[in-house]
Amino acid sequence: MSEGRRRADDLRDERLHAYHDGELSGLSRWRFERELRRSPALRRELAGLRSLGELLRAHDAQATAPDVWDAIALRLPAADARRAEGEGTETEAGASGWAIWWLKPVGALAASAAVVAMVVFGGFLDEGPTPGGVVRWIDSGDRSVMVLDDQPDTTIIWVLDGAIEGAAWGGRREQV
Amino acid sequence: MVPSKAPHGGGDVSRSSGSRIAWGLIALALLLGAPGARAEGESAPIPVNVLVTYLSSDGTGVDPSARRLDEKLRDQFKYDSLQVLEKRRIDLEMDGVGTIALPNGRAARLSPIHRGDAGVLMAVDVEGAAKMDARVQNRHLLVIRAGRYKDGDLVLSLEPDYR
Repeated sequence: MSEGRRRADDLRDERLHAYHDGELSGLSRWRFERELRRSPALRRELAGLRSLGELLRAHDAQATAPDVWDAIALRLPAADARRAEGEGTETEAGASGWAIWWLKPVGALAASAAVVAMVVFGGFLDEGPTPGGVVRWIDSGDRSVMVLDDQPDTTIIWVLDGAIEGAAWGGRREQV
Repeated sequence: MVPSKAPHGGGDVSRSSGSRIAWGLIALALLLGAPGARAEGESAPIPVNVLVTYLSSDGTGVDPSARRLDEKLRDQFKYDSLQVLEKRRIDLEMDGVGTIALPNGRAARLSPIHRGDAGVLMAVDVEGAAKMDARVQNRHLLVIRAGRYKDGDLVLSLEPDYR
């Protein structure tokens, strides 16, 4: 292939891609469309480019959308639970804050003393039990579920296959 | 020759003010640095110990590596065998999703949402069993029945282990 022919092909490919991507305008676009009407080979190449683009778009849609949605859907209830925890704290702070604003310096002093006392007496790491329990929200569909949390360091969530199975296992603890 | 006391006294003054500055800097570091370090810690990946076990009455006995789980389950359920099918540790990015393929062909997915003094808030979805949010203290064992498996039950244990 001669150098001139190669350059002409490159230029044509460049214009084909530019036309496909909507980057040609005005006279350039009119010229290319005229060339397109005259050349069946050029039309085939354009059709090939378009079908390739559609395939890629379809693949992207299939590949990414469910994963992204699954990840978001998994986190939605937890985000609600966290918001609820935050609102609880803010409400308590807000309710008492306006009435006793003048006690803030005293409170700060008391808090500092408490921190010192906790460090000195070693109670700093003792966080105590979690308020509200371990399981904040659960959806087991139509299956029964037992939440056993009478052991301090363990929570057992026993999802049953059906309502009848509960009798076989005893079902003696809290049911959600 | 009587030694001058001035240099000695001056040294005390200097040491005393140096000590005060040092204490001041420590206090400042505690006031300013602690929240930053805490925020950084709260967004760090959460290591979670994952144990997938098969609970049955097939007479094969209890796997020694699942002794802690056995202690928790033995008084609650009737079985004589506890077999470990998978044991691993995964690091979960905050707000990321980790997937555990279960031997019954299903999957469990977990996503840490928040870490605070009360533990890690995790969203857990065990396919075919339940979806839940749980606020789990460090080293707290979250045991979930993940459905039937062979002639027994598939049990998934999750234990945040970040300290």
